[in-house]
Amino acid sequence: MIDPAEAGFAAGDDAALRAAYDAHGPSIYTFCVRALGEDRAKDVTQEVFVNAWRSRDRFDPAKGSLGAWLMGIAKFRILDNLRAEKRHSSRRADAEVAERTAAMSTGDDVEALSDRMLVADALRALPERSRTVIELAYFGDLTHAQVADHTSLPLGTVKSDIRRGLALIRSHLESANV
Amino acid sequence: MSERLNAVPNGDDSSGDDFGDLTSVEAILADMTAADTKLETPPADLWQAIEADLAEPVAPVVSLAERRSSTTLATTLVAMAAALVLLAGGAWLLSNVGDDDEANDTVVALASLEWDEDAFDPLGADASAGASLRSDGDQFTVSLADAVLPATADEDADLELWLIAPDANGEVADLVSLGVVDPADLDSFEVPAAYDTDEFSVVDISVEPRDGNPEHSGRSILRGALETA
Repeated sequence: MIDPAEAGFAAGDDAALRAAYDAHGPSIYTFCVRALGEDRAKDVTQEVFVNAWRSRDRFDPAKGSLGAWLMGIAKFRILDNLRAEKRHSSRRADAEVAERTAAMSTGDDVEALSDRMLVADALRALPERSRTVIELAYFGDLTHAQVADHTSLPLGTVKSDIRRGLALIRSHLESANV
Repeated sequence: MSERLNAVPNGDDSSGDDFGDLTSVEAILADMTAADTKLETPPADLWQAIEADLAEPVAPVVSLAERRSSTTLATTLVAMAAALVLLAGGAWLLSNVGDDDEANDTVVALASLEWDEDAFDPLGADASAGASLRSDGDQFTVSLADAVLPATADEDADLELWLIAPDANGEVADLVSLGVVDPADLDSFEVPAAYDTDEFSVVDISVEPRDGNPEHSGRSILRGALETA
């Protein structure tokens, strides 16, 4: 069950950091762009990977996936940055920053964004058919019968694909909260 | 509204399987659109930046919130960060700055400020001081005591007192100026209300040329972490 590349990360294997960046860089960067804007996203993504590498002995591949662990580090870096930005904007009356921090000023907002990022990550990792039926049902707002029509799959298959997929997504979310 | 699994009538596979309650996942999915699954492409030089960052020696790299507006600081604080680590362990805790001579103030934390040969400005070579953080229940103030401070008149500079917020790695995350220190008449310095002293927990004294630049010069002479009294 433990990905050998992720075990390599915990063990300090150099190539594992590059592999981790290739696998999770886009998703961590996207999280940072959505929370902090493009200007700051690069620096904060860099902090996340440097930080993760330096504290890699705290990553336990038995407890959860590397992607979820990195997302947790990103969440704290983002909250730190938002707090610092808020403090500066109150002194500088920087309208643009104030507006953005007002739009995403609470831990709850970052938490909700982090949940959406984790669900999106887990969706990408699902088997194609499972991913398609979930996206049709939730993003396309189709009923299960409509999804079955649309995909020419039996209704029972649609339902079980969705339930199995949601269960996999849930376990990814849970592994981020250990 | 998309169909909810737990509300499916006669759904022979909606119960009795091993998946349990999936409503938490459904609630998140209900807030999402297809756009949430799209990924941005990181800048091409981001990986190089990470490698370069990690290639630096063990001393923590300084990432200062104000780096964007202050280039001198970014470079010189690298050395200062090394000193932070060193001083965190320094244990010359002052007994004499703890004297509570201001009637309604309580000393909440103490710091011994020390010079770091490798990282700090040579002007601080013979300097030393203790600092105390006091509270009257409302306002926090920082006071210096037993201070041996260098004269700075010769180089048209002042000494300035700062509070630094270190991040989890002991890097400088943020800082705030408390004011100019007059070695001949040690004042106490009010901590602006917006700053949490749990976070801004390191006292720093720097040499600041009178050049009109309000940012930290990067020339620290003394520094020490406040520790709960």
